[in-house]
Amino acid sequence: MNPELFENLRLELRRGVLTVAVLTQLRHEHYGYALRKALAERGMAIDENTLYPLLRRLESQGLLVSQWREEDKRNKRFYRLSIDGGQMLGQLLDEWRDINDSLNRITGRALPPNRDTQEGEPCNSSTRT
Amino acid sequence: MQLLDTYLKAVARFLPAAERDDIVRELSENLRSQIDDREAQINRPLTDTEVKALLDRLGSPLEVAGRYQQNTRVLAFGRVLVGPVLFPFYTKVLGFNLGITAAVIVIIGTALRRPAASLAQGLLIHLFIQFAIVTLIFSLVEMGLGGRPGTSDLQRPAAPVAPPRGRDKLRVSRLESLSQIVALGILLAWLPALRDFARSAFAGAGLAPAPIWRVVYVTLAGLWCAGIAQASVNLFRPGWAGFRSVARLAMDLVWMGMVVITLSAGRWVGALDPGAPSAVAQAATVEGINRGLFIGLVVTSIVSVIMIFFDARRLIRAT
Repeated sequence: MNPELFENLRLELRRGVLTVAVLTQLRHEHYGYALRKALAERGMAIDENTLYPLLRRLESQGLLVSQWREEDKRNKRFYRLSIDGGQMLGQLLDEWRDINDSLNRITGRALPPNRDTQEGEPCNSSTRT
Repeated sequence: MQLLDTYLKAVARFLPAAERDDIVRELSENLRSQIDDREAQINRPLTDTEVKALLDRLGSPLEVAGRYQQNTRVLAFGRVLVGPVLFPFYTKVLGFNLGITAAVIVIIGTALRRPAASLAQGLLIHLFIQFAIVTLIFSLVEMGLGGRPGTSDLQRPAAPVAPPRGRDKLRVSRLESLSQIVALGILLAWLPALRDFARSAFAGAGLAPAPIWRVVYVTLAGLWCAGIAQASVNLFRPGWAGFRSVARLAMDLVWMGMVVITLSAGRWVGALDPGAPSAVAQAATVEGINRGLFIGLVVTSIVSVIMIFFDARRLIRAT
C-alpha cells in the first residue's frame, strides 16, 4: 500500500468531518485552545493552524458567535454555536447519518466480515471498475 | 515570552490589516494557554528552547498567517500552476519585478521622449518576458512540491531545533528566501537587456550615457548576486536570521555608496556627438534629463538613508 496516498485520502476524508466535529463540540462554549484539547481527548486531534482559522471562518459564516471574556486572569475569545449554526449542525448530522448508513450498506456487501482474509481482494478490485 | 511576542509580531506582518490585531490577540491567548498548560504538566516554566520548539512546530509566521486568508487564490491554466501556499509569494515577486521593469522602462522612455507606441511596445515585451519567467519558475516549484501543500520540506513546520543563540531568534522562511532568489535572479538575467535597451534608446535620441553608469551597472549586478547568495545561505540555514540582517545592512550601505558616487558625477547624460550642430538643439533636453536625474538621485539617497535606519534598528533589536 502507498502510505503517502493513504495519508492524502485520510486527510481528505477528515476535512469535511472536522467542521461537523467543531460545530458539535461548540454546543458548549469553548475558547480556541480548550476546544482543541476537548476534541483531541475525543479522538479528533486538529492542528492549531487548521482549527483557529476555521473558527473565524465559521463565525464569519454566521454559524458561531464569539465573545471576549476574562478567565483565569486572562482575556479569551469564547465561541459557541449560533442559532443558524444549530440548524446547520442538525442538517449536517442528518447528512452524516445518511452517509454512514449508506457506507455501512455498501461496505457490508463489498467487504467480507474479516478484512484480513484473501477474499477481500477481488471485492476491492471490482469496486475500482 | 519575548520569543512569543517576536513571533506574533512576525505573523502580524503578513495578516490582512483589517483583522490583524484581533487575530494576533486571539492567537496570542491560545498559545499562552498552551504554554501555561504545558508548564502545569511539567511543574516548571518552559525554557526558551521549548517555546521555540513549540513555535517551530506551528510553522513559519508566513505560513501561519497564510492560513487566515479567507480567499485562497491560485493561478490556474487548465490545471493549477501556482497553488494557494505559493500564490502570495508569486504575486509578491511578480509585483516586485514588474514594478521595477515598468518604472525603469517608462522613466528611460519618457526622459528620451520616445514615441508612445514604441514605448508601449518595449514595455509590453519586457513585462511579458518577466511575467513568463516568474510564472514558469513558480510552476516548476509548485510541481516540485507535488501539489501537496504541507508535505514538502519547504512548507513543513520545522523540527525542534537547538536553543536560540545570540541574534538567531527567528527563522527565515524558506519560501521567502526562494522568492528572493527567483526575483533577483530574473532581474540579474534581465540587466543586460535593460542596458541594451537604454543604450539604443539613448543613441536613438542622439544622446550618450555618462561613464558613471558602468559603475551603477556593475554595482547593481554585484548587489543582486549578493542578495541571491544571502538568500541561498538562508534557504539551507533558515536559523541564521542574524546573518540576513547583517547582509541586508551591508547591502544597504553599498547601495548608498553607489547612489552617492553616482550623485557626485554631476552629469549623467550628454550629447552623443558634442561637436555636431544638433548638439546645441539638444542642450535643453540634456539639461532637463540631468536635472530630473539629479532630483531622482537625491530622493533615492534619502530613501536609502531611511532603509539603512530601519535595517540597522532591526539588527540591533535582533541582537
